Amino acid sequence: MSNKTILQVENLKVWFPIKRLFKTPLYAKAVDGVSFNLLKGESLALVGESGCGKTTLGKTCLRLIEPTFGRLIYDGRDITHLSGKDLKWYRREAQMIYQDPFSSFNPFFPVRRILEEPLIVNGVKSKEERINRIQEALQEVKLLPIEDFINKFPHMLSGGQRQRLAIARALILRPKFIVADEPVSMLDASVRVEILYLLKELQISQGISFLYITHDIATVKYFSDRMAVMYSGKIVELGEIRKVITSHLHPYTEALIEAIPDPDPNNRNVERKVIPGEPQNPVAWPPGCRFHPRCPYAMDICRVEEPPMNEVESGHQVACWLRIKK
Amino acid sequence: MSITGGSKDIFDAIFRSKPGLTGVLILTIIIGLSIIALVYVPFDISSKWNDITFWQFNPRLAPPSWINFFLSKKLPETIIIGEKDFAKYDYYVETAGLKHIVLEAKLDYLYEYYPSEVNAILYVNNSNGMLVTLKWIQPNGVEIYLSRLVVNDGINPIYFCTRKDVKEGLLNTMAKLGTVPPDTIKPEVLLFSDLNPSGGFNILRGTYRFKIEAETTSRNATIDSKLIVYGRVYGLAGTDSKRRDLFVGIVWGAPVALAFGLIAAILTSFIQTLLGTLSAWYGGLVDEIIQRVTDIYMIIPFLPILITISVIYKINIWTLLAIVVALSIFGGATKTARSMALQVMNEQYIEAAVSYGASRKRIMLLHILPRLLPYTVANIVLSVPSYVFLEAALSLLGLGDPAMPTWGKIISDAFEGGAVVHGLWWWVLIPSTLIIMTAIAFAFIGLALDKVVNPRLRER
Repeated sequence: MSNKTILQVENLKVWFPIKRLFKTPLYAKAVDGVSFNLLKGESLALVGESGCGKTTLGKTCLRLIEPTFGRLIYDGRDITHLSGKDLKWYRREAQMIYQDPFSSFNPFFPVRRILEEPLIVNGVKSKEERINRIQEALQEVKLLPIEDFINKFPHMLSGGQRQRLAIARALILRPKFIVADEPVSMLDASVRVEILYLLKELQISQGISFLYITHDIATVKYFSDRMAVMYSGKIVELGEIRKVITSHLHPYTEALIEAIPDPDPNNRNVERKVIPGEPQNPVAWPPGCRFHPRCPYAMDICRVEEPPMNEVESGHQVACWLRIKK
Repeated sequence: MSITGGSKDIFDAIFRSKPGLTGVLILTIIIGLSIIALVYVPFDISSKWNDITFWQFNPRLAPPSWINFFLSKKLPETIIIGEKDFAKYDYYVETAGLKHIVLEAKLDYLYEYYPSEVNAILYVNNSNGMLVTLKWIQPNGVEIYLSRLVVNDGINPIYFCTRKDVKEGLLNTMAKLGTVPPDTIKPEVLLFSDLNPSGGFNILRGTYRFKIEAETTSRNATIDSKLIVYGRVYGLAGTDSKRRDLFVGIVWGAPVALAFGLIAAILTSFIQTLLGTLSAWYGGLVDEIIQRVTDIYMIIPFLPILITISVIYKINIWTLLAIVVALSIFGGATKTARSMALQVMNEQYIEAAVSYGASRKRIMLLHILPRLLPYTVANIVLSVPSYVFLEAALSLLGLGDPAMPTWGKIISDAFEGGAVVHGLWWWVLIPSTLIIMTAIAFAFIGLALDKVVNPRLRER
């Protein structure tokens, strides 16, 4: 493991038990064997359709969910099964930005209090210092002038302003690792890029590592360095963003990129390749490659054996039988 | 459905809506009554309420005096002639060794209706026995020889209505005048009637005189007297069979009812909400235990337990309150609060709080419980009347506080005193009206608050 890695995820599995009366429980295998390294100061995009387990993976990386198998190593320390007080230092290091800017604040708290809470909880005793850090954070996310915002309640803010506030809350503890769970998916298109640029700026200026979870490949290029494509609880392709988008290797990645809406009206009659079928059932993944029921290139081996992760070229991995030379 | 709303919404809902304002208005009146209680009833009510001598100058079972407003023939008020209103002179006859004391009082009786009772009280001091002659002189000059009796030192009440010699005195007077006496001799009526043969026992209006002639051997002896002509109406709320001023009881019942209802409602609502939230937030075994205990509590029969406790222990209103609260620690609100807390728990800001390291306790107290506050407030308001009713119902069953006058206790007394059968409406209607008013006030405020708690009912 290199010094440049901040978070190492090894064969991570998150299974949720489904209790059944008088029967052995079934498991919803939301995340089922994921491995990747997040580098310091890097932004890794995690792309996938709804229900593929990307949010679960993000929350597990923050230890909001207890992993079932596998290991999580943050900055050389094993955090897989820490709990309670032992985890407190990690709570300062790692933060989350949520998808829904409307439910991510306590409606009874004004902006000042929302930002003050993490500081109080993490033992910043001096009131002056707290106020200074709140002002700093508001400045960083450009909620200016500060006096206009500091006493407002969340419901008085617009969607974009709220998301800036959410970012400010994530930043106020000066974390080294932030999971951004679809931070722009509920915002107006006009505000999206603005927020993404803000995140990019913060990532560069403060050297924060980001795990950027999204289903929208179109926003990835603004913000991320590398990209992991997730399907049915597994990472199917991982690589440098330009490579994944331009020379994608997995049929699912291809389908995702194909599905990006094109604003050019000249192309409105162009037939698009849409992958058939539905996402798989997490309780019983299909045998073999999980994408094979929907894959146009499915071969016999795909139905029987799961493809291993294979480094096709330096830093570009894919899990597909098509790319494995026999 | 979202559960939003803060203290401002609650304030708006109450003061900007008609039902809310009506409720507040009625409540203000009841709170006003409570304040009157402190001013109007300066004595310790629980020791005085059952003290018969304290109420002895009030008429028995008198309706409130404001009914005169609606009557063409006005009912009399109580007239008390005190010690100082008696003209007094005394002399000592050395040769006989006798002291003579004469007391005389004038009474202007101008009502068109007979009084309900007439009593005199003689306060005698420093004598070894005193011979007293009582005389009653009507406005037309007819003198009735009431009684001749020996009284000792101390307080000697003389009840004209039940004394045999008073009746005899009246019969003698009528015999002297040649009047045929009526079938029943009612002193309180005949003392104020025209006893002449031509009078027809009509009421005589004018100045009566009450004369006491006392003789004693001791030189230092004194005698004072008080004459009480009991009316037929009393006060603002009438009196009961023990001559107690019901207004005092009702006015005292207001703070008691409000305190009982509010304390019970606040305690049970808060405890139930807290337990429901604990149940949802900590989950697992805690959840299971709280929910199962709630199930058991909800089927525990309330009344038999209370009856059992009241058989074993002497209950006063505050122990009753404690028992009621203890029996309602778990209840419907525990279940509702749990489901609401589960909903709030799913909001992202809770997880955000976890992710920045807030403790479970802090999240529950700071982020979840405040969200249940509007519901709790509405729950308190809506359950106040049920606890006021409960107290009244328990009093009616004889499980209430025997010393403290509460609205329920007054109704219970009225019931035992046969108020319904004898048409003593004020005894029943006034306290029950107040109970209903209280219930309506809280129901109105609750209706207004419902719009905060349940956004689907919002008008805008």
